[in-house]
Amino acid sequence: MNIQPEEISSIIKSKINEFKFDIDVTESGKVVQLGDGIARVYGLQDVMAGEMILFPGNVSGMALNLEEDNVGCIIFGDTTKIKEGDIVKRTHKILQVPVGDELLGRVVNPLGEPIDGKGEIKTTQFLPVERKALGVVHRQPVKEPLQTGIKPIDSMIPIGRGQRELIIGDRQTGKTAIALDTIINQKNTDVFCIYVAIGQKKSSVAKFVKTLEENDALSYTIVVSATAAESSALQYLAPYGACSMGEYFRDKGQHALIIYDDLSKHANSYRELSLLLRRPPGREAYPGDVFYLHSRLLERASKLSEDKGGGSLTALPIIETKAEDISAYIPTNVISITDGQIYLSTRLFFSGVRPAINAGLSVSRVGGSAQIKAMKKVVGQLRLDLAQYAELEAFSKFGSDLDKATLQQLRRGEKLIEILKQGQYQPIPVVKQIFIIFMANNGYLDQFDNELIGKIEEELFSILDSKYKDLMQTIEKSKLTDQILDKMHEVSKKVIERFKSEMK
Amino acid sequence: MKNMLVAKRYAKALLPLIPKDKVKEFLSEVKLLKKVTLDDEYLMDFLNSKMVKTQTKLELLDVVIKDFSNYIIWKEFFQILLEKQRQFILPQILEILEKDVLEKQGIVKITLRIAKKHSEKVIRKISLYVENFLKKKIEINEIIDPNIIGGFVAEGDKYLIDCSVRHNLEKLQSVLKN
Repeated sequence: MNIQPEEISSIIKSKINEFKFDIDVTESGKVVQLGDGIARVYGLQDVMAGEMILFPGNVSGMALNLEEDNVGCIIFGDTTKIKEGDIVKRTHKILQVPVGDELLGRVVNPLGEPIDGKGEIKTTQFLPVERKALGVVHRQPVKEPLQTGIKPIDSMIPIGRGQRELIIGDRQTGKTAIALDTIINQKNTDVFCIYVAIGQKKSSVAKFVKTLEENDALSYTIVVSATAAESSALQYLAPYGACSMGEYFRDKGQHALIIYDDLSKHANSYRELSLLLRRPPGREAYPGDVFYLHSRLLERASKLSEDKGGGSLTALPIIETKAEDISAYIPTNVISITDGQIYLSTRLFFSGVRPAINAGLSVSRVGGSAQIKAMKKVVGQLRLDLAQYAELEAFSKFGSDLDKATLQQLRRGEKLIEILKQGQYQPIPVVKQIFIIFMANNGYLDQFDNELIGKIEEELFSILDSKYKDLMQTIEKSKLTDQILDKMHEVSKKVIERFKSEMK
Repeated sequence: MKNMLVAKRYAKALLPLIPKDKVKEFLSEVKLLKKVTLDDEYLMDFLNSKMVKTQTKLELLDVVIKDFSNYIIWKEFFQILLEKQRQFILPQILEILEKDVLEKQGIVKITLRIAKKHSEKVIRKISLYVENFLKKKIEINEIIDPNIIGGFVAEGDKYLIDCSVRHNLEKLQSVLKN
């Protein structure tokens, strides 16, 4: 495309001609103290808490502490442009972020500004960062499932649309991997995803985005990034801004999933801000309102009533524990706020069970009602067998000294553990999950070595894909009738037939 | 910041003591004291010195205020200030007092930034504009600031009226950028 210099100069000339010399009248104050991303401003008597304020050099901030003689503000930009005595202007606006479909496929900062180098995001709508969670009359119980594609979760710790399910565990136990797989599994569904990176390494965020791109998952995802290099003010703001972006879809009657990775770092950044604002420290130096910090954020996740369009916002907050201590301050707070937790264990992770979900400590309080009927039916037996296996596991060392029934239970448990293992970036459709659990429950896998289980699973999935698409659709939509069960037995027998000969 | 809070309290306590018929005189006395404290750095050093006795400080201040029409109020005020060893916040107290007395009279103090010295006629025009906007009488403190290029910036305690060329150029820049 050829661009004529005359065209550009005529555009500039017309812009200059259109420009009207105006008088800017604003309520103002003066910076009296500045440092560590915090400014104290004298004046601004009528400023609202949470109001966006403008510093010189187009740097924005937010009024947080309204004191008798000054206003404590957090600054969202380059503080080197601001100096003592500078004029600060009110905007009369509560801090807002751009929202809309235009943000999908983009990486933005907590203020909604693009940071992926793909150009400007032209949105027309804005929503306040801090919004009050909807009341009870506008909500309805969780009733639709949100499939993660991860076998242990969809079977034993099901998540419903509008639920808040905590992912908790030590570092390097696969918390972000679960979030990533869940996003990938929303491909070709009506769920939009928002991933909020708080206090993470820039390289980790870049890797995450690349993985999304490789799996065609970025097109329906918004990545909000407040890395460790950003100020604590931006890190504090990130989940709230991202939540507003998710609420846009929810309020339109659509479905959204938001992942806060992670809220431990978010609490740390809020602690930093609060201490700098001279708010009194409490337990572990966190301010008194650290519970409210997370409760008001997670309460915004909801399933709306049909009158409100029936949209939903599902939240998957992540919490990083230290030395598996889930009774620390922030983990207990978030556990009590959420509707359940997925607990990832380091021991399981290093023993090769991946995803390293500890089924005993994980729970979903409301997701069960959203689970599809067929899964509900097969999972009852799975839970029972796994619980029995967990009890008997300690005896497995005695080997042949055990009675036949116990040995059988141990063997079943081993197979169940094996079928619940899953590779990364390989979410599995729910019907396939039902099928493999069905096979394990009915003892089809008991006779095989653990090494063969993966192969059997692969074989099953390929047979299902090639020959039984109708059956899969029926299972997904209806109850497991005797007729369907017979068909499932038939398929299972067919699958194991090949492997029986291999065993011989 | 803490000093401002204390200064505010002193000013607030002094304000109701001003006789209604002597407000104007009080205001000019405040301005005079402000000028003295600003111009004469040795005065503040003298008042803050721990080597000098309170009585001596009071005697010196007495020379400054002896002709004031509100002499008794000032004398007692300085006595309390020195006894409480708060003399170091005197400039802040005077600043707040001036603003409060002006406010009591329905006058707002405005700092007017202009790029170059203007005629009285122009300044009066600007004053009228600002007065109309604030719906209050104003008292202007002129500052020449070439950085604003042209126009004026009126800074009040609460409001900022920016009619400068610099501000408009910045605005034009953002229009062109977008």
